[in-house]
Amino acid sequence: MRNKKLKVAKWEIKRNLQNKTFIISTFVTPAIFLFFLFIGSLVGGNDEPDMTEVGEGSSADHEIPVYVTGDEEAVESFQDIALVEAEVAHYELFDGPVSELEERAAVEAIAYVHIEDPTNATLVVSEEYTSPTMVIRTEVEQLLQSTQLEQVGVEQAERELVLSTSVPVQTISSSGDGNEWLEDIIPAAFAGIVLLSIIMTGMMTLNSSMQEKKDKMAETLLSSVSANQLMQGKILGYFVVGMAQVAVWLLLVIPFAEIFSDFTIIEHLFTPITLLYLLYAVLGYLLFASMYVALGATMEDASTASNLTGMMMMLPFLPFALVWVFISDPNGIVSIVASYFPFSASAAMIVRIVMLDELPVLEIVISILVLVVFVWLMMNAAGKVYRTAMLMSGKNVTPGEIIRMIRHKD
Amino acid sequence: MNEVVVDIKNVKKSFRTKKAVNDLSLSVSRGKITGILGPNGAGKSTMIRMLMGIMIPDSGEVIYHLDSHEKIPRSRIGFLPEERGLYKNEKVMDVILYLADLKDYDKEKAKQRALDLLVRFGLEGHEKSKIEELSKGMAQKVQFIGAIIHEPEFLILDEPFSGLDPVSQDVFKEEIQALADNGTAILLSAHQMNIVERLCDEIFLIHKGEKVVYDTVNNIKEQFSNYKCVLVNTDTTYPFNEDERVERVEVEGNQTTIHFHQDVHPLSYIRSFPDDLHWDELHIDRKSLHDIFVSIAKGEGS
Repeated sequence: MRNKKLKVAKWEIKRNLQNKTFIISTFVTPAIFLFFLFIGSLVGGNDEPDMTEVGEGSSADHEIPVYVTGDEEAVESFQDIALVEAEVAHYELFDGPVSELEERAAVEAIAYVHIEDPTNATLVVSEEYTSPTMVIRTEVEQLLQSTQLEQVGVEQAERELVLSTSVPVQTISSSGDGNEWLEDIIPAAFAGIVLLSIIMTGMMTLNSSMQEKKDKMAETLLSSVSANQLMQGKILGYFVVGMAQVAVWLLLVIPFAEIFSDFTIIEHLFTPITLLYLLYAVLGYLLFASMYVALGATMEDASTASNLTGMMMMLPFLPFALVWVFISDPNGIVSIVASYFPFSASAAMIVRIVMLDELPVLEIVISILVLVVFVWLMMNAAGKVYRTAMLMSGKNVTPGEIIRMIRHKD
Repeated sequence: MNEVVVDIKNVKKSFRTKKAVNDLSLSVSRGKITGILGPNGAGKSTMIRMLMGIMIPDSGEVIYHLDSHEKIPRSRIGFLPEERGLYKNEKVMDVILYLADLKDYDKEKAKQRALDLLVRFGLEGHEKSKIEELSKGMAQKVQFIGAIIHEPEFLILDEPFSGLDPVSQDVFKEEIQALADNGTAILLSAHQMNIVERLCDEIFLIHKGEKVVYDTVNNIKEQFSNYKCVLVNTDTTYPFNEDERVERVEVEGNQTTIHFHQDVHPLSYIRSFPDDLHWDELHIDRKSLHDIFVSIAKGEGS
């Protein structure tokens, strides 16, 4: 009796970790990811030097002339600093009225900085030149900041230290080191990967039940373990398999990502919010896996599944179809309803927590409660369906029979 | 040695409106082979599933006397289900060891015992073969090994001989007898009446979920073994079954078998044949267990 669940789990883990298809998919997925990362770095490789070399007179700074106009004193100060500190010689002073530059910007590719006073400057860039905008803006911002610092008496060396002009792109953000978004994205992306991976492995519980039914192993197994132990052992086993897959992916992808990008994944991965995301992922998995394991027991072949069963099999993928809705409108009615609908709650809440600066604690608590209650209900229903359906051979179980099994009192 | 291992007391089980098992009681003792017989749909598998705890009786009790705190001491029971099947993609030894592990049997002991049993069943060298690479009979032997690997005290065998060639049947028979001789209580469900007759100490015969007879093989034969008369190359149009002494008549090829009711001696019947009724051969015999089974299945002998 002792640890029968663990024995079943151990068997499922061993079978899958030795399964060639599983091994291939585990290693091929990150390989594909790394391949695209590599291709992306090759294709997008030109952008990065452009951005960092603008200040050094790269090709990009010749593409578009930049004019400076406005308050004479402020422009002078700006120009001094621009010439001395940023080595940016391509800014040109413009003596005419701003309206002229405005008209030119409408018809030709130019950019201009209109400085009304040291604290108030506007950068205007021709519409078709969106890509260098960021670079110019960064430099202009830096120069303006430097001008302001100079006016309050900060020495040049200190200004350089503060503004760190050698990495202009990173100074765009108003505060910090520019990587704050990683703090939100990385744990959520990790939870998303975990959720996706364990949903996929959750689907493997369906195949496992179906195969055991097809292989006519049900009675042999049920003579040694109870139906609930068998079902729970499978759910546990495939959870470990899913996590092992994620671990392999992380082990393979993190070093590459750290080397080929500026992401500091590890630093942002182990944060308290990751635990919350993982809780959602695990609850989602338990819900889906218990449903899948029971559905697997109702048929010997997925191709003969009834319409209802087929629809239920697709339910866990519903949130992935809605993920853009969650991202674009995290406080919209769809996102809020999805947060309380058990089959989409995990994904919806993970995305909403990332997208919203603040999400009421009550919403988080309610969605977790909804998931916990539905996991409990689903596991009970699945246990009833599983132990009866596994013994029915020769035909698929009809939806009516499934409902009768669930309603049957022990 | 008549130590009862399991008592089944007045169990009932219905599926919706159909009574699958109705008020059945049975005991299986150590060292004894009890045959559970009945036509298809008689309730044998339901009975066995209730014994294994796979199904719960609507009423009645299954009581094990195996010195265990568990209601169904699964680790002490071996079970070969009627439905043959094993993990097709897994290796023979892995499957056997997994089944032993589920029965809480020591892994090293299981490995050694599995190797011994594989040799005994003529499967030496197949421990690393995948189940799908084996013939149906070989896979059946592996499943049998899986059922007995943990040295069960109570063994349930549901149709162990179906699909086996005569040589393999003999191997199974010897093994089952050896297990019983070593004290294992065995409940055997089979349709091969000649084997049942030879192996079983007692028989529990059920039909449509009801008990028909539960006794030793000898007592049953005594009770049910009416006479039968076989005529070879006789006139099959002759109305043998119109006589009230005749229970039923079977015609198979050139043989006509007349089964008599209990206490009817065939000689008196044969004397009543008309002089012009021809036959080449005439045999008088007692009914076999097979005939008794057929009579009961057709609702004639109960």
